[in-house]
Amino acid sequence: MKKILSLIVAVFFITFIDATEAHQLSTSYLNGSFDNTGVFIGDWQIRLYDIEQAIGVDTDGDGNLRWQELQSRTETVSRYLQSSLQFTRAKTRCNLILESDWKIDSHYNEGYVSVPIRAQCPIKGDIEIHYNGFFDIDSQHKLLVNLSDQKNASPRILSDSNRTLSVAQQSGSRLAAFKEFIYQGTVHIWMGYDHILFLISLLLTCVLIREKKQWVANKNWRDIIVNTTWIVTAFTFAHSITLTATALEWIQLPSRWVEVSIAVTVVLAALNNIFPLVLRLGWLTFGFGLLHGMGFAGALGELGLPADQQVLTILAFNIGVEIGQLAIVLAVLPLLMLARYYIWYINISTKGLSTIIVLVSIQWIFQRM
Amino acid sequence: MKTIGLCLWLFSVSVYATPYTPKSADEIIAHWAAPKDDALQSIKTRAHLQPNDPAILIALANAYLEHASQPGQSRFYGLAQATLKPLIENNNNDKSLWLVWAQIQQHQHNFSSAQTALNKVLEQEPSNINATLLNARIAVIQEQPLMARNMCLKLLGNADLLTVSACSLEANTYLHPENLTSIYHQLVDMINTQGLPEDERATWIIQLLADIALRNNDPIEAANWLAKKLDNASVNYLAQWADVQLALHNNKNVLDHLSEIVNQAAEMDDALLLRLALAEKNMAQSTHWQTRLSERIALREQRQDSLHASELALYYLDISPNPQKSLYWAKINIQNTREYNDKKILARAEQANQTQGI
Repeated sequence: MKKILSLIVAVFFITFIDATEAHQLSTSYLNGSFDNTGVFIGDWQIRLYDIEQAIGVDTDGDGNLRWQELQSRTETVSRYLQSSLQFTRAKTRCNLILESDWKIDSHYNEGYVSVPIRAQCPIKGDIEIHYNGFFDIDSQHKLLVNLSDQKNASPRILSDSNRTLSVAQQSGSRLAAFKEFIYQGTVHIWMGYDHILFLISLLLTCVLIREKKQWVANKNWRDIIVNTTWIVTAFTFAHSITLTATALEWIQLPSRWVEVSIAVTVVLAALNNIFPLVLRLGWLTFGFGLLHGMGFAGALGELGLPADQQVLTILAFNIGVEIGQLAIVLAVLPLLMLARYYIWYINISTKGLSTIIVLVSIQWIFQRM
Repeated sequence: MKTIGLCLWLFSVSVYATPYTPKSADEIIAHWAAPKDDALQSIKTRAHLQPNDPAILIALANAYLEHASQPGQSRFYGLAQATLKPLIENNNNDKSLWLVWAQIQQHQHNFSSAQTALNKVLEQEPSNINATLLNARIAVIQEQPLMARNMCLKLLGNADLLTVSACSLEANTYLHPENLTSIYHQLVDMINTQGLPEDERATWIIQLLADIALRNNDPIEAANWLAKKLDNASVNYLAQWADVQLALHNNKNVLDHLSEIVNQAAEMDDALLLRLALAEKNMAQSTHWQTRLSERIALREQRQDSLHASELALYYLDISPNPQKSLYWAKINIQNTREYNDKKILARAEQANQTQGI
């Protein structure tokens, strides 16, 4: 009883002159902007001490947080952060991605982690930011939101008593979103080395024909063009089907096995150049193309689809992939047509290149398993 | 090794103004005081193992509050609040829960929430001394001294005479400000007869006497009282002591005593930072604390931390004069707390604006 009275009085007198008491500053910062394709790009800076209080990252408990300690808890921290922040537009949840390139920053002499984020939202509708991070460990925590496309605006504040922020934002442009996803599709095939090597494996023998169990140059350039067109069309048709189906979640296969399978297709396509078992490549290409389409869908998933433009953005991405693919064909095919008459092309380049492609792809198989 | 690591960390965070990727896995990216309080750690562990046990959560909140008043520890108010929030939302009926909650809310200047919580305690136990005292305190803050005095007088028969007298005399200083001298001597006479209590009430009474003395324009007397319990004092006590020292122009005393405390504390307290900045400005020798304070004020403004309105008002009155901003924050402050000092800040801010012709 006396202890309780003492405690109360202790607290009583400490508030004797209320105006002088101070509080600590658990503060996070969200900086970024929305573009006219419905994408929010920015960074979220979180005080490392808050992360420690919420999850515990100082694994040895010595009060010194090391870079390696934070990195070892990246997955757990990411999960916590993902559950703390949400963007919605027109009441539809946006796809929030925390990028992997975390950096360290400082505010008022306190260590912060800066996490790049990207949220793909629908391009129309009212935007809301919902936040519930760290309030369960410190009710005084606040998130200061700086939207750089809001001219002359002060930071907006999210707190324990005010966890949702409405953002006035002009509707995005369908055309801009369409163009952006065409661009992304083009970039993604150029970054997809497995897709490129698969395509090249097919193209290497497009300019050749089999005679007496040997590869020889196909002298008919019209034949080459038609052949190539069929193969590319088969590939395009196939991966468009599965890209669309996977992006719309009509089919869902474990991404790891999809990636492994894609690497296997590259091995088989390149091996077929060395040991030609299949000469009619159309159906083979179609079958393998189905797997490649699922791989493209994975990349599209990382970007996130604006929920109100799904079909259009898938179409745009697909078109981008085709443009990128066409660019590769237009760059490579003329060179192969020029080189096809040379012995070194048939004996060394085709077999040699195919062998290298096989070896690289086998390495991918092991890496992806 | 730890010192070197800390130095490296301090160097890194001060040099790198822009985000960067540490080059070494061992680079220290943040530093905080390692937990020292075994008792607190023990309760935290128990709360972690039994997160739904109200008794443990209340004990944890109380443990947080024991730390919260000390320099560099006020983050524990937020922790205490977060700890109890689930119980409050479930409308748990334990009166000890509501008492702790009331203390936290009172500290956060959520006075109506505090009073609601205290009423829940008093419904169950009308003679609860702690709840009554806290209720009276809030009434004083809210400029209701008559109500406060009546609450204090209800303690007659339940609490000792000194407690009742101190409570009601404080209310009287607001009911009859013209009688400050008489009220002061009444309380001093009681102390001279009975002596200061041996428990924490001593600190409360010392602060009350010092406040009355200062309001009665006797800072020397106020300083004499506050000198009695300066060791291991709370932030509130230290801030009051510093105000008295500043009134006596003992700026060096303030710098010498508070610098050491603030430098050793895990985190800075705005109240102490403000007094350090004031003393430093008065001595016009350096700007170290003023710089630290201006950074903190900038963040407070960004966060719109209205709980610190009085400090922001004082900053714009005395450190970085800005009459408009001082009046803005003084008005926000007075909406919530209306004690003597709060009214004084508002009067000064209004005067500053009149002088500027705004």
